[in-house]
Amino acid sequence: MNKSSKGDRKEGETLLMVGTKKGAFLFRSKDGRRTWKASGPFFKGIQVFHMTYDRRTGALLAAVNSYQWGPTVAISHDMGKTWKNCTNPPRFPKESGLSVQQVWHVEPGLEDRPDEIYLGVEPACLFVSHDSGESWDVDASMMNHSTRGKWSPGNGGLCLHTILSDRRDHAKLHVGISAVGTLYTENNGGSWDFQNKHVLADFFPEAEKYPEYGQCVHKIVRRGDRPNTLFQQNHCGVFRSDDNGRDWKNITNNLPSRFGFPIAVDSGSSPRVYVAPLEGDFARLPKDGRFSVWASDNSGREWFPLNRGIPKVSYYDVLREGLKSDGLDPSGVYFGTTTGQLYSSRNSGESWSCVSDALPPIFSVEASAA
Amino acid sequence: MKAGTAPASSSTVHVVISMHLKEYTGSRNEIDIEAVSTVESLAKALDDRFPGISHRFLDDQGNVRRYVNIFVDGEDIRERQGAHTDLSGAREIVILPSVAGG
Repeated sequence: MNKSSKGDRKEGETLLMVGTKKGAFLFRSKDGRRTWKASGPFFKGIQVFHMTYDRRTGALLAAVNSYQWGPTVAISHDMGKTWKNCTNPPRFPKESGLSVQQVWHVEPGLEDRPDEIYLGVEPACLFVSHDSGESWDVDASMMNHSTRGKWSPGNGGLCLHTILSDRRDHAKLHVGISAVGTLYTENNGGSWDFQNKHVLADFFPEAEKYPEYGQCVHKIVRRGDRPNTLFQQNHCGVFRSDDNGRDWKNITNNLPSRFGFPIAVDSGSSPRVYVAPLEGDFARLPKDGRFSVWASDNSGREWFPLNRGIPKVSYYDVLREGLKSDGLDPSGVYFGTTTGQLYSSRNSGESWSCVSDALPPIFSVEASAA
Repeated sequence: MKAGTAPASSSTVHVVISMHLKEYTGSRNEIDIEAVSTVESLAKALDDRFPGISHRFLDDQGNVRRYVNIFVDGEDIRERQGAHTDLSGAREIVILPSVAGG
């Protein structure tokens, strides 16, 4: 019999958290990811951009965006049975002239700071909670960044969608903003520097293809065993940094397209990297109408398709939060599509099975293995 | 004023709140609060009773959210001065989501 643990989660249980256009869903597996029990929708009819599990407290955290009632962060301590909106939601100070339009990504902090949670919002800024998500403080340095007036939105808005903490030092943080690029702090948000060297932005004129900022980063992930190695899927290719973001190298190589949104990486000592290429920004569909996750076992030097179990006709589109790895060995990999299909793999993408074929349009998938 | 609701006294105003916000109000959708003169003071009075609720109908700058309507004695405050509407003397304030369809 499973023993109860934090937040009503059972030991050995894998969680899949799915944010959709019409609410959030939770999938739980207690049999080694063979079968899944679904619950939800939570926030019925309301957009949930991202939902994640805080393993420090056992809470589910959701970034909820209501058309009518605006954005908020909601918290559940019983695996989604009940939810409570935070009492002091993220707000810009009046003198900023800004208002939070959407909440995009909620990221629990490090183990040794159990009450700290980060939040990325639109218009792009970082908020921090020091009380497990009940109240939120704006990162003033980012809000007042000297270049903010020149930041331009991507197609999804001027959003801060990626937050990468660094388990070696809580004061160090990377964030990704579309279409600004990667920013980095070494002093807990006291100041932010750009980290976009050699990241292509060829939607600018020839002489400005590698600007200091203005890159359209879609998602960034960090390699667990070598935390100085970062991977990013960008509008203009896939890139890798081996020096904690100071410099980047284009690793698009033999991918069928440079364009896509999500990127995921396994844990372990030889992690597989995953992307989901689309034909291009002009045609956001998989090439030839067949969706494949593409993977690399050598940090992006070569890529290969993984599509066993995915229909041959599959005009799927996966958004930036829609592809995740669960960190187990062998790794579980999951993707959710804008047409509502949720797929899982128990063998690092070698084969896929459909967990659900009829969800609302999927914004995000998050996986947490016990 | 909506039929069947008790008139507020001159020192109070009757506030009807969408049931979509019942999480904040403990499932109450009608309350009387001390009279307020501005939308900002309405927000503060409601936040004092129901922490966090004002953020659901006002944005960070104090503007009424695009798809929320606030009616004062039956009139949409957008037809008056929006978030700057004088609420002095109001008897009933109704906060509802806008609806659209096709």
